[in-house]
Amino acid sequence: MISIHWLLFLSLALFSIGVYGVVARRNLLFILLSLEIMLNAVVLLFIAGSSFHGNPDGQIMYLLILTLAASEVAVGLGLVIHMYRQHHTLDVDKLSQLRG
Amino acid sequence: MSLHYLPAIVLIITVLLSLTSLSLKRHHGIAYLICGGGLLLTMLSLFMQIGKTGTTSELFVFDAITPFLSLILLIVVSMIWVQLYQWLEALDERKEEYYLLLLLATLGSLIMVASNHFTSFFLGLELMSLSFVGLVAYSGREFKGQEAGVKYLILSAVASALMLMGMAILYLQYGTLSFNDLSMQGASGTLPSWVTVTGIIFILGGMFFKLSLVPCHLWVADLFEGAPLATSALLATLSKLAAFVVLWRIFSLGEWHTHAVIVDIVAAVAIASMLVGNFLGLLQNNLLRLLAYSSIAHFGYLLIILLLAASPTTAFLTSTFSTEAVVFYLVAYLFTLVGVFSVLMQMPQIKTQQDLTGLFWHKPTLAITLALLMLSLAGIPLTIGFMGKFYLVMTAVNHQMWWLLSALVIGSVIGLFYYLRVIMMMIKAPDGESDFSGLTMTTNGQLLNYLIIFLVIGFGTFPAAFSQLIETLSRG
Amino acid sequence: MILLSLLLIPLIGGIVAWYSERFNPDYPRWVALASLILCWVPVLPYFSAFTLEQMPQWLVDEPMRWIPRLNITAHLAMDGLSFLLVILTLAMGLVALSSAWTEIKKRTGFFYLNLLWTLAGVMGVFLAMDLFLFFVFWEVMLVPMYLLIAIWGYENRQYAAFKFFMFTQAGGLLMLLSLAGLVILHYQQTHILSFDYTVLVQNPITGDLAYWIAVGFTVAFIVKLPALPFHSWLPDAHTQAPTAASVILAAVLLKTGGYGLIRFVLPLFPDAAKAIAPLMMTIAGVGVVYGAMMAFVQKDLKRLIAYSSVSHMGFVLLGCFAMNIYALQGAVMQMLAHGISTSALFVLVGMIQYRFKTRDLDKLGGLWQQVPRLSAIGLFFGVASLGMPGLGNFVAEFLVLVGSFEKYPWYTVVAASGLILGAIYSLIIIYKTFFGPRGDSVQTSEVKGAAEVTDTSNREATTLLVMVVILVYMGVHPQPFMDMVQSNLLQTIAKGLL
Repeated sequence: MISIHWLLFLSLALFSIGVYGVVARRNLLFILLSLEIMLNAVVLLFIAGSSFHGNPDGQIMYLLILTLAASEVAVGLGLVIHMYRQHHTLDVDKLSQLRG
Repeated sequence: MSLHYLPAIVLIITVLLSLTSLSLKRHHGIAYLICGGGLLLTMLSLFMQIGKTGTTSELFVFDAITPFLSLILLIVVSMIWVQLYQWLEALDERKEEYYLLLLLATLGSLIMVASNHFTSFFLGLELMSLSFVGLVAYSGREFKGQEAGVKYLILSAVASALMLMGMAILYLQYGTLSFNDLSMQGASGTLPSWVTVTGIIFILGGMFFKLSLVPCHLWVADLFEGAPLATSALLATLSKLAAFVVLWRIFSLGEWHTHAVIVDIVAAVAIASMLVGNFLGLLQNNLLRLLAYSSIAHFGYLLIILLLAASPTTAFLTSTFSTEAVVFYLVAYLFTLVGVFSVLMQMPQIKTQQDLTGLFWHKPTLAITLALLMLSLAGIPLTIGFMGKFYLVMTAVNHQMWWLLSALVIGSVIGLFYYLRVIMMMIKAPDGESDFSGLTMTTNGQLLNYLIIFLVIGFGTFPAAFSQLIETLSRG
Repeated sequence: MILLSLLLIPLIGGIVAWYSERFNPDYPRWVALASLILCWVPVLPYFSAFTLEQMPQWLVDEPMRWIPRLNITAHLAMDGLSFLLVILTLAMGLVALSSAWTEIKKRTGFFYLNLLWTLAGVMGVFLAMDLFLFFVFWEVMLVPMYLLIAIWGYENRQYAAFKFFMFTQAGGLLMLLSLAGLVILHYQQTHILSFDYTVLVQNPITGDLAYWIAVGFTVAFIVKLPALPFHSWLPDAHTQAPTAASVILAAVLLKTGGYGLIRFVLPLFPDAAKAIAPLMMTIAGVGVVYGAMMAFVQKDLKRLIAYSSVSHMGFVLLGCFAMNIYALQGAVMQMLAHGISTSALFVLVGMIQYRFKTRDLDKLGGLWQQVPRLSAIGLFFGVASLGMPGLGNFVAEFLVLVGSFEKYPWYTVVAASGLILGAIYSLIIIYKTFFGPRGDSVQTSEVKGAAEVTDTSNREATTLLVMVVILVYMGVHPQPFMDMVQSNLLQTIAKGLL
């Protein structure tokens, strides 16, 4: 069996990739994709924990997070379409009207 | 199924009802009334629970404080709801969905406030956040609103992901998701203790986003300015209260103050929030941005409460005193803030401080209300905000947290500058340019103003009954 | 209910005054006058205390429940010290009203509301015997005062009002911390939770923390006094405030600082007070000289008087920390005498400004020929301010110097040299305004026609003459005033010597 440490590191690595994507990418679509990667990293860790401890809580969380991911993408894509229709761009740097 | 779930059920039925009526026939008045009726019934069902014996289940906790906080939440939402009809009428959008999203967000925050398990917390949080995305980006034709919507979507998703990561790590460590089992420190830990600390830091990071504390505060001002006014009001009150209550519960149940690193981080964040929030507030001209920064500072003050357990105490009064302080401060701050927003909703064309010039001489009631609210935010005696601050100072002095207290004093003094500037603008002699003819006072708004004055000054001057109530609740 | 009614009358009177403006802009001042006169009714019986052989601890004692959760009471009580200062407040309230009578023409209702509420707040400060209640009054009285300066002040009013509010508020926050610390430390040492002065004073707290708490209170009080490093708000506030607000500010608001020192710092923290006394004496000595020196380089008449206040209040601080009954009595006398003489000077400047539209010393001069009555009274108060024997100020300053010479001879020497400087600036006022060649403003007003500039009206003259009489009485027969406060001050001293 693989040590639990490796799973933790894998998950953290995936999570970091996701964070990097959110921070570095300028395209809204890719940001949404990076968010999915982050959530998948979390899911992986939950499943690992579930199998490690032998209780089903983690798997239930997996289902819930899946639902969240779906609904987040649904709302996100709605905004993406709306934005594209009006501005014909998905570059988040163009969203800079609000400055204090 | 006990009585405790009744409020949530009532809210769910209201949601379904308004959804049904929406699909049958669009009518703003009906949607408004359904929403109001649902809120009223929920409040009644919550009111029945106050003072009753509580229960704790696997997913939810219903102690004495929970229904009280939920009731406060509902009152805040209802105070916004009162003005919603008029405000939405002026908005060039479909109106009925706003109530739907509002109810869903309220439901989410109710779940959060009562949650006792990471699963219920997570569900409540997401229900609230996703509804808020809709509420923020409600006026789709406005570029600012859209921008705010995108920003909120990304940030709330990142915050959720961070918190989920933290939960996953803690789950891996302890094999449970219940808050009650969090305090099994190290005993059953499968991994070294730094893993626990990492998990806690992840959760705190997500929470700091939700509470917009330094250094995760950059979004909040944009959001307040860009989002529709009613949404900003909800964001500032509903979402922050719910998030803080959960943070407070996890922090004390998990005994996180035993980790020195965590205590240091929270203390640093608290001090930074007080100072940075107030300092940036100084530079703002837009009233909503000003409120945003002031809310950063206020939640910085509140963070002091989390750290109390980490310091020596003198067993002053009872151990529940810090609970009372949190509740009092939260209630005081929320009432004040919702008051400010409802005053702002009564004068939609006023955006910056300059727009306020001479308001006092034209609309004295509005101006006096706003001035009292500003004094309450600044913590001048005889306002409810001062009583909250007094409770906070008493607890903090009791635990001898001099560093945090000195930051609080410095922050408050800086904060005074901009609260006072708002008052100063209002009492300036009108220069002829300012035109308040567009401001129509409705009876609704007028009554609300009197209610706000009553809440802020009445509870500030005679807090005896209120403090007694909170004491009883904290004991039970 | 006597003391409560004393606070309620101006509060309610203020609201009535504001409301009455709707009918006629002249009504508010009559309402204000009526409520101020009504305020004398509850205190009149206590004038008999002047004849008492032995002063009781409290003339009136009215504890009331307020916030039982923290054992906070609305405890109002009056002893000799409070009584004298309340009388001063009420008297100076009438003076302020008289000076505002014709000066304030805009928004009269709101003006008198703020005036009356400030007075109520100040009286609350003098009467509150619960520390929490004291703090509440201490902070709340700032708000109407702020509005008085910010709305009806002169050119730079917003800035001055702002500065005034910020300084005192910052001091107030420090006091809030110290207050919480005091109560909790007291609870720790005695297991009694109380904010009540009478309880706290029985077992003064000890320890290192007590020292810092005392410092916190002292700083809050000397900001208000104002003593040297924290004085810079006063000249601005005085210069910009309307005459009535200047009168209130100089006559009673500054006295709350001295009152706080005598009432709270000395008896509650006897050890700490002894420890910080040398520092405070230094500040006081330097303050006396500095204030006087700053005063005689000022061109603005109001600014000059404001700096002279800094100098005079230095004597109060000196008297408070000399730990000696003579010095303490002197400090109380100084508070009363300074309250009357300085506010009279402000009233005079207000009259001069009203008539000649300037308060620049270079533009004034030779007023005696045009307004002899006003000038004569001005001469009297100028001389009073330099400490002429036979007037209240002399008695006060002499007592302070005698009292503090015993322990702190050098500070006393420094402070006494401040008196000489005081003579210089007082004579400058007298010379440059009332005598000497006629200034520009005086001449232009003469060109416009002498009819415009009138001498003091009967109302103005009466106000000022009453003040003259009181000041002379205090100078030649100060014993009743001292007897009033003697027993309480002796107790304070006894605590300090234990």
